[in-house]
Amino acid sequence: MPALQAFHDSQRPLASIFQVKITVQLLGQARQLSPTEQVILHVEEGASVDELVPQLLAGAPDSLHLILSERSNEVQQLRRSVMAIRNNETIEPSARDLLKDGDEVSLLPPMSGG
Amino acid sequence: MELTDRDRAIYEWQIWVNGLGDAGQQKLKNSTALITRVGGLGGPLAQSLAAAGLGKLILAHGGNTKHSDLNRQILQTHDQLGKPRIESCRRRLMELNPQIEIETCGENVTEANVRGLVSGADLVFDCAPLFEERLLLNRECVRQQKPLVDAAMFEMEGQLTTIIPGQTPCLACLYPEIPPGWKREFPVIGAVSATMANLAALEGLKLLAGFGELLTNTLLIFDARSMDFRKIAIQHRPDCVVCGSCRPPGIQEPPS
Repeated sequence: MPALQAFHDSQRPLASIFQVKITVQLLGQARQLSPTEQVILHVEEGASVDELVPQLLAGAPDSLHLILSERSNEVQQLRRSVMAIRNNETIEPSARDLLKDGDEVSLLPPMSGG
Repeated sequence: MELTDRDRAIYEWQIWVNGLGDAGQQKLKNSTALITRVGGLGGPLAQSLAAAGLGKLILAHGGNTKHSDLNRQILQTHDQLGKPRIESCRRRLMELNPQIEIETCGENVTEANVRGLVSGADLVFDCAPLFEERLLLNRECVRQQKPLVDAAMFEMEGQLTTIIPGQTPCLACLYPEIPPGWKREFPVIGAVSATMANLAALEGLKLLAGFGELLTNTLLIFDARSMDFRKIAIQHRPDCVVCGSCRPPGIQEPPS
């Protein structure tokens, strides 16, 4: 994931007035499978959580893809069992225009009894 | 059943808790809780409920004690290795509090036993590591309109919510599918599972005794690495196959 963060940083346009900065925090099993627990993405204003997923997982290990993403009509999106949390509230991953500049999105795969 | 003088002597220190009192203690004495799997989560949970004087515990847990249980399943002991876990659960809890009633089932939750197990309880605690068991228990709790306290953990994180059918999202709202690649064995430090167990026990005691605020419509997330607690607002999933039309409760009959 550090390489992944460097890739995202290199792709960032100089003038990003139509982009927002979103901090994605990985929780639970996703956190364990990733060398870093958070990634900063610069995405198009209005993007949904589903739309963050291809960027987030570019270059990520297969195990993280399996936990966090699924394909629907050939589009990579957040797996249905993963909870998307914006700041301190769950949000519908497909909903656009909810994410604001500076938001933190936590992705929580299911966890179970001990 | 009324509280006896002996009850008051045993539970004196918790009867002093604001909101609990004699009335709350009496409610605990007249309550029954089901705990499914009495391992790293269910074991410390059962211990706290037994110590607090819950009238009856129904415990469901299959299998024999293994070496790899002993770092977290605090009701198991080394001399119990190779023997049914449920025997040790009963013995240890009766040593702790011989006043309470304990009913045991030496199986995990299945389609065959879930109805009977849930029907005998006022409150259900879901402490199983497999999503199949948890979702089965959730479905039955929604069907029977029984409150369910759901505790879970992974590595250094834990989560907890209280499900009241018809009033809160159910477990299938949170987990509409069984996650791929989930393995029954995963990283657990006993202190983390016991932390979540005792938070779950507190939810149950508040719910049964009728005081404090519950984690309804809320998911508590605990990060043991940073010692952060977060409360997350959670919502019904409108297309939930278990409780999707559960407002008002009980409209959708899950498959039997």
